[in-house]
Amino acid sequence: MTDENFLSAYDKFKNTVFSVILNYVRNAEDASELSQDTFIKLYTYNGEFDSDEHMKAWLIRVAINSCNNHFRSRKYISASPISEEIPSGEKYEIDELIEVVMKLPEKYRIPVHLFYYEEYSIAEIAKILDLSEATVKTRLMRGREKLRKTLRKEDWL
Amino acid sequence: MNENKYKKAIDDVCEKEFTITGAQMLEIAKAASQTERNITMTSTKKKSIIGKIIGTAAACVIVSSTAVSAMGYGPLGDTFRKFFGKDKTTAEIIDDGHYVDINQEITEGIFTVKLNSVTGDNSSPKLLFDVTVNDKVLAEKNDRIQLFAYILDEERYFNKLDEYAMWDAYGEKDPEINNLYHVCMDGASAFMINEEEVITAVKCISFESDPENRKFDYDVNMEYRFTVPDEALKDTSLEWYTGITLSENGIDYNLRYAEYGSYDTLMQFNYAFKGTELAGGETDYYKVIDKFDAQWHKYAGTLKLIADGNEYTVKEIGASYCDTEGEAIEAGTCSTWLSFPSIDYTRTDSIELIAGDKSYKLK
Repeated sequence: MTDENFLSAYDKFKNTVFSVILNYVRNAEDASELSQDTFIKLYTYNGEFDSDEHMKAWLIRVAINSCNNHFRSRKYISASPISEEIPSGEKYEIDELIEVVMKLPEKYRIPVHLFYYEEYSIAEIAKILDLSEATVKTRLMRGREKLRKTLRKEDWL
Repeated sequence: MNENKYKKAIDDVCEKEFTITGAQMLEIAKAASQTERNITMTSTKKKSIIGKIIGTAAACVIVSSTAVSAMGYGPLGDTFRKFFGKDKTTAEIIDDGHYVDINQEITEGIFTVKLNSVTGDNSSPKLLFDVTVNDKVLAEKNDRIQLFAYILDEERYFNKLDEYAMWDAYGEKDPEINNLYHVCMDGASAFMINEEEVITAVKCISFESDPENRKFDYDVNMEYRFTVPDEALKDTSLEWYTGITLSENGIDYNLRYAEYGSYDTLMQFNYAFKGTELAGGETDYYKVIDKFDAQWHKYAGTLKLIADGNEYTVKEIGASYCDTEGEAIEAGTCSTWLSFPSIDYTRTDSIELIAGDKSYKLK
């Protein structure tokens, strides 16, 4: 990839990559490092992209794989007590809205983020996450239901 | 969700927290392409990450009649109470004899799901499943599971599946068998009618912890076909009403019927949305459905029911459905519902619905 193309892609998709990773790891420092890793993979990628949308979907897929590898390398965490709270050490200025989305279980959080932030359709999310459309539909429905119960605001319905 | 607000909030976080410029990132990428990059995380960052929010407890959980006799407990209703004690209504319905075995078992992959039986009442039928998970780690790590299934008649199952949502229910682990879960799922009263044929298709089994595979949801396709046995479901009292109209903010909610069941009192209302101020000239209901649902939720929450002097507040408020083709109700008419706690209609002398300072006599 040329430097010019890389800079253009970074400018367009840095928030896409960082936000999807942040939704996974819920830790800004880790998200920053994993985002860098994702863009390094882009820089060294030898394949071609049909379009910006194709590149964006590829970046999201790579970002999610990086997150999964990140978790797999830390299996001991699953034996630790599970917290419903965002770790208090992660002191980024968090909006109330992001906080409630971040508290959703991972399986709801990612489809909700891709649906509302990236405005992907159910079919597109299913393809990116390698899930059936029915599963994505169910996760979105359940995620939205949990958000509604938490927020209790009319403009969120 | 208000997606613009969410987008803005996310963009703000990205702006503040991911501050590497394009030029810096290019340098990092160039350097990394020369020597393989080894990202390491500090131990302080390796904090609790995978949060799992545990939802509300299962509506009802039960053991099969076979298991009951094997364990030497008394009547099924008592066993139900002994193990779980939450769903007293279902236990009482079982005591009354409204419980019929189906006993259909399907194995797919690591799961064996047995549709045990049907119980409940006409407005809230229940399907009882036993789920065996033949995966040691999944069974060890999960005290409960979630089951998703379609419950429809044959015509809708094969031709209109996309128009219907799946039902779901949590199942809890058997206290004696580590990989066995018992699930009691609410059924679809529209299709689960005595002597009618029903298809129940289990499509997904979901776990809260899946440390090995990180898959959480396992797609399956297990179809059970059965005729709802006569007497399986306890009768409810269904009363139709005309001339009871609750008006709020330019919308007339007409009470169509109330079904007085063992679990709750369900009321169904119809209303016309076209031409209302809230519709604002829109004729496609599904473009304004959120506004109508929000208003209905706000208004319905203020309603009260008085039965023989006892006051009840609303238990649950439903979402609306609008029939654009006149298939189920009059075309252009919308339907919504709410529920109050259960009232024994036959033993109650007077029932009134209270809306603000107005009272409507229901019995």
